[in-house]
Amino acid sequence: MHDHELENLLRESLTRYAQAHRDRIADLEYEIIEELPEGRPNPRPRLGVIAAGVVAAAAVFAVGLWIGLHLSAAPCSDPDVLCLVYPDAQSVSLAAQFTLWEPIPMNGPDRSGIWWIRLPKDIKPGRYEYGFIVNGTRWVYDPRATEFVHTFDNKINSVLYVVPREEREQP
Amino acid sequence: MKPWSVALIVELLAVLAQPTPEDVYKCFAELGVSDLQTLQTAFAKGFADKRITPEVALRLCQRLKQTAAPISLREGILQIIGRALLEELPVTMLVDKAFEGLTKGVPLDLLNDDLLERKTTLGEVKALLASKGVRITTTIRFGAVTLMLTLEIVDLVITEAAWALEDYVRGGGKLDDISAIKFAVQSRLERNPAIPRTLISYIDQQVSALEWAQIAQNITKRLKKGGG
Repeated sequence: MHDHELENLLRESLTRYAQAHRDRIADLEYEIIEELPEGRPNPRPRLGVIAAGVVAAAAVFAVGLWIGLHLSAAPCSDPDVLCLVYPDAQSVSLAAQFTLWEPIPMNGPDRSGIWWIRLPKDIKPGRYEYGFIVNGTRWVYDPRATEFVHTFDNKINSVLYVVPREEREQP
Repeated sequence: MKPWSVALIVELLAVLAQPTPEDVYKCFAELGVSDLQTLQTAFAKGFADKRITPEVALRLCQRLKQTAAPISLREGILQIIGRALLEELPVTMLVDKAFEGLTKGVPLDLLNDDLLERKTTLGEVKALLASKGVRITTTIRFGAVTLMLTLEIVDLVITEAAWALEDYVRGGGKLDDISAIKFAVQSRLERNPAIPRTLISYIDQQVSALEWAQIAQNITKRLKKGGG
């Protein structure tokens, strides 16, 4: 008998044996683990693995959010969005009558250096003065505004008119 | 739990979280104002008339607490707004300019002067409009339309007209161009969707360019006197 014939014979007989005793072999791993003393490994996923998964998912979400905010184009054609092109700024905030002049950080910059912010959903129709604060100190008016007014120290506020929602949604 | 009961609980919690007039008075006391009683009376009237909310008043008080300036100047801002409330003037422009000035770091003596000047303008506009029949709880007739004037509408018209005149003068508008002054006021009123068109037409017919120009000239005089 050649070696390969002997090998095939052995393999076939082992396979037949395994199939015949499949019920006993099943769950053998768990049975062995049950027999082990305290401190045995837990076959279920551990808390650390779950935590690592959550952290990884959060990291992926954060990167996606960053890409969304910085690399996608600012939605400046939306009439409910205020935009300012200022690629060199470290931060840009909006201060307006409807924020009681509290600075609200703007999103951005996008890949074109545009900072943007969406108007509050509950803003009432009317006239609002506003300005942008660059790097926390420098007041800048909105060059896209259609109206400007002089304010303290002869500085300029931009003016925004919010029309009723029904009018905004008309084609 | 049913959705309506959840909504009710959320609404209840929101109401409970709203500042009360007592919160505002407590803030005034903590600020160290010298005339707490007058302020309390004035703001209580303002809350009752709905010319200012406790939430906005509290935020203004808290901003003043954070500001490094003599207490007399900080209190001055509250007193000007308080006096306006007692005189039944709208305070939207005054409150807004107070917040803007505080955010922009305007020296509080200048801010006090600015608010006092604007308060005088509000009084002049209110008197002019009242002389033409634009008063709270009166009705006006324009063409076939009769309009009942509420406090909210009259306050809005006074505010917009006074603000337009202030902007015109501060923006360097010509005082001898009385048509431009009237146009500044009328166009401001027209661009506010909350003001009824009938009332805007009524004011256009009743108030002459010269009358608006007179108030603009008064503003100029006050600003020159105050160095503004």
